[in-house]
Amino acid sequence: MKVSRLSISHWVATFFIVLSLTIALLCGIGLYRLYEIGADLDRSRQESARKELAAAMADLSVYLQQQSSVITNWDETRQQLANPDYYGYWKASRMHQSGLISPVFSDLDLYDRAGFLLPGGDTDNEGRINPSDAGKTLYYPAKGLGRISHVFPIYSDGKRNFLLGYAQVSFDLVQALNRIHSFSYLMPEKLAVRNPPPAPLALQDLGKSLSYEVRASHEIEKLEDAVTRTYTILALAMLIAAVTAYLFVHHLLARPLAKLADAIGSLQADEARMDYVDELESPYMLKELDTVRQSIQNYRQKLSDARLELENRNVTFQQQALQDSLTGLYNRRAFEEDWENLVRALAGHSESMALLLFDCDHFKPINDTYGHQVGDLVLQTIAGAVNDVMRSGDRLYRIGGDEFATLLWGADEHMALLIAERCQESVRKEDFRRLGVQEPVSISIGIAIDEISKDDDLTRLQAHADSAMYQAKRPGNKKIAIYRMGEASSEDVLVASLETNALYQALAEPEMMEIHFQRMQPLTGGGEYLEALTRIRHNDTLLMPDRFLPVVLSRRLEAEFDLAVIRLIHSSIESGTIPSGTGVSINLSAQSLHRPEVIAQLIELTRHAERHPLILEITETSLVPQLAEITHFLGILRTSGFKIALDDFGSGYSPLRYLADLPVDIIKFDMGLIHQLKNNDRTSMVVSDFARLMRDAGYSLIAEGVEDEAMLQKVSSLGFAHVQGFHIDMPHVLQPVEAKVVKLFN
Amino acid sequence: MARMLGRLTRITLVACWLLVPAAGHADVVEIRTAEKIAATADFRPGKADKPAILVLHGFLQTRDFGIVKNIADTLADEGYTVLSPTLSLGISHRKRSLDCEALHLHDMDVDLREIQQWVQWLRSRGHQRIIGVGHSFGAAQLMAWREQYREKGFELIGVSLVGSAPFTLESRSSLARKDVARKPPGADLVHAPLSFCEIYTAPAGKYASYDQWGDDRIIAALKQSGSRTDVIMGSSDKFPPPDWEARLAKAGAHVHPIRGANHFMDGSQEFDMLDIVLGILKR
Repeated sequence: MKVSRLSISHWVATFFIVLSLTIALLCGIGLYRLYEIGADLDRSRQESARKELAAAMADLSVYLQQQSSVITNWDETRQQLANPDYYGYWKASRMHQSGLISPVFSDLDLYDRAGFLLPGGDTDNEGRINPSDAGKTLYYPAKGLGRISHVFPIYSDGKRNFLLGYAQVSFDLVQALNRIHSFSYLMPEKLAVRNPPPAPLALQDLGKSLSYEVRASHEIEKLEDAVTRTYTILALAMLIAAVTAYLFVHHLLARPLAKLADAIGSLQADEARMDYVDELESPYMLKELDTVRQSIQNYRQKLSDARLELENRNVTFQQQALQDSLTGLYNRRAFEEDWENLVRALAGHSESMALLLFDCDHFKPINDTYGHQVGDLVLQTIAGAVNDVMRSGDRLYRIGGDEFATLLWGADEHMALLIAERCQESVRKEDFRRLGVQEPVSISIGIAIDEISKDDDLTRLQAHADSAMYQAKRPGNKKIAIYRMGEASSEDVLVASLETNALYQALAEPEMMEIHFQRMQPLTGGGEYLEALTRIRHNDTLLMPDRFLPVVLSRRLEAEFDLAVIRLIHSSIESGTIPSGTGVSINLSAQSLHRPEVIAQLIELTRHAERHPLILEITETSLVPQLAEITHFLGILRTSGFKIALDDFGSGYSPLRYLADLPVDIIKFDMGLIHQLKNNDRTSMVVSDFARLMRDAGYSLIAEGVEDEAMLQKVSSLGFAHVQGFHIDMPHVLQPVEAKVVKLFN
Repeated sequence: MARMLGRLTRITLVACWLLVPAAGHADVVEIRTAEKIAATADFRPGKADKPAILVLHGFLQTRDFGIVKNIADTLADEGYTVLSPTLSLGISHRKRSLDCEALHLHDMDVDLREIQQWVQWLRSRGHQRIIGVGHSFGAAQLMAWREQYREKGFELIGVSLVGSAPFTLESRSSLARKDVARKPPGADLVHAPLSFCEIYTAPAGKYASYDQWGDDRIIAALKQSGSRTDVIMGSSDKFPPPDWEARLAKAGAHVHPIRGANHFMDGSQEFDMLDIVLGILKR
């Protein structure tokens, strides 16, 4: 059963209301009983009035007979009937003065034996009566109750032997009844004839046609007044008592309890309402309640202390929850919350917002090379450097391993670029060598600027910044890129998305990948090699490595990509597409070299080494992580039949160190270095001397980017073993018929 | 002593009569006057050897008036044939005294004719000797009848005989009465003192018919009557004029005074009066 919960004030009020209603009900029942008794008495009085009227009418009839007899026996009546000469005088003066005519009668008229009025008498009655009406008392509707007529014969003697004439008395019925009858119940003055008949009505019938009113019983009225007054006084007394009791209970019990309940409620609601503190300070009159009050007060105090401590902890936890423990910056959660708050604060308008994404270049190789501790220090240094040059009020967030971000509220492109360059310069100024990191550490910054409204989410802006970051990370860029809607960068979003999709699709469906081979022409008599260059065909578009390799790098898909390429090369070898005797040069990411499955796949490829000499090109632009481990694996591969080439020599990191630490057989000069040879300057001399030095050191040299005959002659003169470039061969897909045997590289 | 015994005897008889009303019950006889008015009388036949007594009431009274009825009853008890009529005064079957204030349409002549009718009624029943007993103005009316109908031998006993003159000196000399005197007969109603009535309303002629029978007229009638007339007067009767008894006696009446009796002979004087009446009748 559901029980409604009310406050004690409501219960107390309800109790006294019910009490008052009960008293009122009892009073009402009493009054009702009294009214019932009154009604019974009224009915009884009605019946008594009816009987009283009947008795009065009977009395009137008797009275009329008596008075008729008096008049009949009055000698002067007979005198007038015998000698009516002075009837007028007699009637006017004597008749009424005699005292024999009842005052009930308003008039008395005498008629002769034929029914004619005696002459000379002043009267309102008709001049003649109908002798047949003798002995009747008649009500004439036209005359009303005020003039009832009673006609009776007058004889000369008691034996009624000789008729002298007739007498007619007129009287007012009400006055007559009042005179001859004492009424206790009936109000004679209220008598009226119901539905007056058209013809005269006899007295005995008139009684049945009379309506009447009953005299109010003053005793009952007085009793009702007394009882009503008593009940009223009782009700008022009870009302005053109830109100007084209510106020007393309310003051002593209900209000303190309500305050205690509110205080407990406030404690439950974790509210710190100081008014309750003040109210609970005042002692209560009831000892038990005061004890409860003191207990709640003490409890509240303890709770308040605990709550304060908890709040402090919460602040700490909240700060910790929003803080990156490594760098002390705000973390990704803070980034997202700040975004939500900023967007919410926009309400109905929009505001320019710049999102700057920071990414540490080559952080993974650094981390892998120098260890996590150094990696952490690098991140802390970068965080500190960037945070130092942020605007006042701007926050820097660490949103990923080596990714940072900041939101520049109201910043335009110029401001965003300014801050980005400031950050980049600040990082550049840092001395990472104190951390043992020899390679230069830099950051790439992707910037997205847009008008933000309250319905925007972070995803769109972040996607734009990602796209910009993609641009920034492209080789040859200045590592700061701004995403611009409607410009090339905006298409890059699609392109990036297209390349990402194409890459993942190609990894799932290797047939999308095409291996183009570019011939590496031998100059010193060695065998011919084909460098396997990967393309991805996606919707009739051939994606070049410069488009999907950044995706490979950013998504850390080097091993998966290299495995797919190795399988395709393996397939090409096995299918006979590559002419027997032609060597195959394979590009491999350094990150793939410590993946056992890659090593195993490469070793599997060496089964064809006798017909297809194999070169493994390790790109120099990617920092080689875990150098010792890589060296170990390269040694295994070298033993298995691979020649190790250091690709893109002349660009990138510490080539001399790699030459010293890695088991390298071939040095593949970067196109940039080769192009320097065209000039006749000091750089050309250095490159030439360096090439000779490497050759003399026993390394076999390959020149990339040979685009004309002069360059071919130059590199040939410098002792390069192989040349490669558009002047020699364009990368192309091998057809089985085109395959030809090349001489093995020695 | 003998007188006291006789009184006791009569008291006893009256008491017996009262206790046994039937024993003295009278017949009511009725005559119709010339005006077709029914006049009634109590008739109690008596012994044939005794005269018939016509007992007549006073002015406006009836035969049931106390002293009149006592006289009639006493005489009937004594064996006399008694006829006590009630003059109709123009009212059939009149039963009660007519108020002074009533309209009086009767006159002396009508009254005398009724007396005559009753006398004739007695005579028609064989009563040749008739003695009249009248009280107050009834005695005067018997005297007037005796004179008007020339009944020379008609004996008359008058008890408290008075005329029609007003009883008080003030009434006798009232302006109204003098005014009436100036009115011719047949004139309109007059309102003037008459007999014991302070105001008597009647047509002027009818008033005059009574008014003429004042003291002097009675004395004159007495003197001319030639018949025995006994008059019983109370010494305390205030209605007659002074020296009335002397004047009556002088006019030839046999006056029987009763010491201390008033006009109605109330109290023990009634028996004295009855003794005197019986004594006169036994002569």
